Amino acid sequence: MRSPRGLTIAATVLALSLVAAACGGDEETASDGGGGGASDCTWAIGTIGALSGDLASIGGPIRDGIAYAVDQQNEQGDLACELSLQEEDSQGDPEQAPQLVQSLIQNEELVAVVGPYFSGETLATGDIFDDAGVAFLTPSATNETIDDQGWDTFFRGVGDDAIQGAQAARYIESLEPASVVVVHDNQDYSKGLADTVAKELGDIAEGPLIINPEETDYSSTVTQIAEIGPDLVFYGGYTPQAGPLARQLREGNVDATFISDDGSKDPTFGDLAGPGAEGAQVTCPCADPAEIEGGQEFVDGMEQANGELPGTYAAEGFDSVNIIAEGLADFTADDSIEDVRSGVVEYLDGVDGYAGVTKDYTFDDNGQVEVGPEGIFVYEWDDAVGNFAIIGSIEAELSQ
Amino acid sequence: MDCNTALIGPLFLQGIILGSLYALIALGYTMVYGVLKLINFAHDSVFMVGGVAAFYVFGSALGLTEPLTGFALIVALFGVLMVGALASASGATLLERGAYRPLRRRGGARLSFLISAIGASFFATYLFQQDFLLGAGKRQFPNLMETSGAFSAFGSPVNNKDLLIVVAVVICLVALDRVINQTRIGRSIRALSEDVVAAQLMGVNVNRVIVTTFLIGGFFGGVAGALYGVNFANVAWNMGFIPGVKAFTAAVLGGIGNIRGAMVGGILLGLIENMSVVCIGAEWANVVAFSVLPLVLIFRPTGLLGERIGG
Amino acid sequence: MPPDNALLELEDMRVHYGAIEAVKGIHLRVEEGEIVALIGGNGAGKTTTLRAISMVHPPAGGSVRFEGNELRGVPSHGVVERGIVQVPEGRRIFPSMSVRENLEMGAFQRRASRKELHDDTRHVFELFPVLEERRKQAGGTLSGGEQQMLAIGRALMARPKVLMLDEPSMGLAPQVVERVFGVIRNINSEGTTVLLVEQNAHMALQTAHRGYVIETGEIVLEDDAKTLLGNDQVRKAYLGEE
Repeated sequence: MRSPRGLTIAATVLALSLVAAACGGDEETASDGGGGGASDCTWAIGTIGALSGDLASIGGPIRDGIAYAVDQQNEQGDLACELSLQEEDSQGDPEQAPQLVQSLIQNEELVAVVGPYFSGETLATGDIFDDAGVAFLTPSATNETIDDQGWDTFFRGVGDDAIQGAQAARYIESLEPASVVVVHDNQDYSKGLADTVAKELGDIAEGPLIINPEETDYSSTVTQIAEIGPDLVFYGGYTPQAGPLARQLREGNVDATFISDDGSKDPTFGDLAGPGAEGAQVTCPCADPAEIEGGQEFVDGMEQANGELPGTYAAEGFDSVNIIAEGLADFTADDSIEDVRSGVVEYLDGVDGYAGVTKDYTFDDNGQVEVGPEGIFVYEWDDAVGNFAIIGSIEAELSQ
Repeated sequence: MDCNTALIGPLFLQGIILGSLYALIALGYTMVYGVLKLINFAHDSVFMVGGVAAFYVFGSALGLTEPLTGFALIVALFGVLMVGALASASGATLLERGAYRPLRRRGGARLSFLISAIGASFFATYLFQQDFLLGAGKRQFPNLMETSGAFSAFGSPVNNKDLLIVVAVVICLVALDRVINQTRIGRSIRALSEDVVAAQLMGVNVNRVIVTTFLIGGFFGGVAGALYGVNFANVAWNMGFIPGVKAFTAAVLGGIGNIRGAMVGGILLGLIENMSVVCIGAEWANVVAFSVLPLVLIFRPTGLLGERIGG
Repeated sequence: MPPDNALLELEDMRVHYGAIEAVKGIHLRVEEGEIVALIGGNGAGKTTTLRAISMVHPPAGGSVRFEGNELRGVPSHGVVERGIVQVPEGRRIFPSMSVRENLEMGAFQRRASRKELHDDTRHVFELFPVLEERRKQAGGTLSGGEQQMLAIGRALMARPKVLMLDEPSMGLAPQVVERVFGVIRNINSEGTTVLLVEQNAHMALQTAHRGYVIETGEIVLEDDAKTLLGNDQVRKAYLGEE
């Protein structure tokens, strides 16, 4: 008799506490929206990426753009429910991401996710989003295989590395180097992009040489590169490795032009590269919003909100939230969360020419935003600004 | 396999430079093993603390940004290495008191020391990842010296940073050899490593010698950490991981517990790693380097020079 | 009753190895200038007793007094500093150190000056000329007898008030044993008190003034060495006589 009764008591306590928790939640929401009258409900936008850790300098600006968009939406108050932002910090690590995505989709208020930010974590979590029927719109994960995974709820707001790689190779060719050494660090994104660039360059490309992202000492790779004596080095990867590599190349008397990618496009590159930053360039499927018609408003607004200029992919993150908000416009507080989730997916599937800050958005059958080669840009390090400054669209540069 | 023989000279040189840093770190592993028969896996954090401390003092506190020259440079470099050395030495003694001595007092099993060592290593590493200490990501180390070519050897230019590493490591190794073989404290370390009971019966204060051993190993680990900072111009919370495992491998290769073995093992490992790049890619360097561990343990378990700590 | 000026005195000393009580409350006293033998079979607790006095494996109960002061709580190096020095079982020479370095290790806790070191080393070399011949050789390469001489020499370098020897005859040829015991008598006659632990009861009792017999951690007999040599029980158990 004893143990069944114990079980019953335990079950009762558990049930009561669940009820209590549920009630508590209701009360909170009610009091939240009580004053305004416009919304007495909340919809959560999820976001996941490197908010801390080695890659926080890349993830942080994206999150800032997303948060700014959520604030703007709430200020406008056009939606039936207030938006909240659920941030999950993966540190960019594909192994940490899945459990964080679980916690996102288990949120009963979550309507869609902007992210993940990087390719590796996106590849590691796509199945979970897809199974849950939650739209995940990445503003920045560019690996070209992601949209081939058959995920119905996947969307991407930037050009992929097939385009970036091809354009990067065309740009490199236009500089007429006699030889190019391609280097990467074997992560999903880095390898995908570097391999594409190497393939597109064909015979003039040597490598790829591979460095270990956990190491600080690239001296043997630098020695190899010095012996080849290329006119140009292309590095596929992220800033924490790109910076030190650029420095060690310069200190190892390799005076080749250093070109990297969107993963290296953040201001900390200059600290890490030191003298190696001079003349370094990056390609990026990201426009400089300040250069786009109507983009200045976004730049000024973010500068006012955060006290600093928006970083790489902030504008794409901003756009992503706003597109999703468009999809939410037809829903009310009475709609079930399942309906809202699937409604957002449906809306995104049908988006046709949504005018965002960075570009006009139309997603193809795989969820890939339709961008042409003109959507790939090249930037050069500017010591005076302490950041990369835009040169222009590669397509435009080449046609000159 | 297609080998690029033109790389042999420069990679040989790089191998020696890299290997001498491994040797400096390996001393910490080998000395502690010598006296305690304990693999101090937390030595990688000790190394990191040296680099980070030098970064605090010369980067954050003094805010040096412009490269120095001449006498000022020499003073600054000496300062950087000493700050690193002293910080790591204190870190190592703290580690001994916090993670090992309590176990020793309770007569802990060999395995519990090992587990404590691994725990202490992760603890310290992730502690420094927190923002109140260092934070995540690589931090820029003050650019004390402008890199410039010094001279040419093996058909490869040797720059002033390479030279700094080699000179600093040689001074450290010679000094340590002197200390171990010619001083009272060195003799007590050797005695303890050869026979704990006999050393006790000769009046050796075991706890004091153990602390001293951690202190000396930490000191040289700190010099290595600061050298890393100067050479690669950055420090990071996880900077110790790879060099730590490499140095441990070097210690095993030379004969763990044997100080000269650590020196030989370090340089040899640096060479093995770099020479593997001549015929196969740099991405294989770690595969080759770490294959040393099982190979040594199978074919020469006591390492190249055996297990004795002294000369 | 013996006079109350014992140099070293164990009172109800107990030593544990885990749950096992290896020495079960023994009483033992060593007067200044004496040679005292502690004899007993294998595993009787002889080595345990010496290690306990040296505080390498401190006792769990009772007291160990030296010159009237309690030693329990004193670390092992403190015991050496106070003048109790042990020649351990199996010699425990530092194998990779030279003979000279081994001897210098003996003087470790004294912080002896160069001159003192030199004089004391000379003294040891006079006792054991073979050590002088081998002074640069690594300790591990010496023969068993030479190692025993080195172990004794090393202990003398500490200038002990009480010299404790643990099985100095073990594994040595009979004529070497004779020599070693000759040296022990010499050392004693120069004023050093000796506590001698032996399985070789005959040799030990011939050399000692007084003796104790220990069996499974307890003192079972205590008397003048000569008396013990004549004791039936001792003759049967330890001298192999019927």
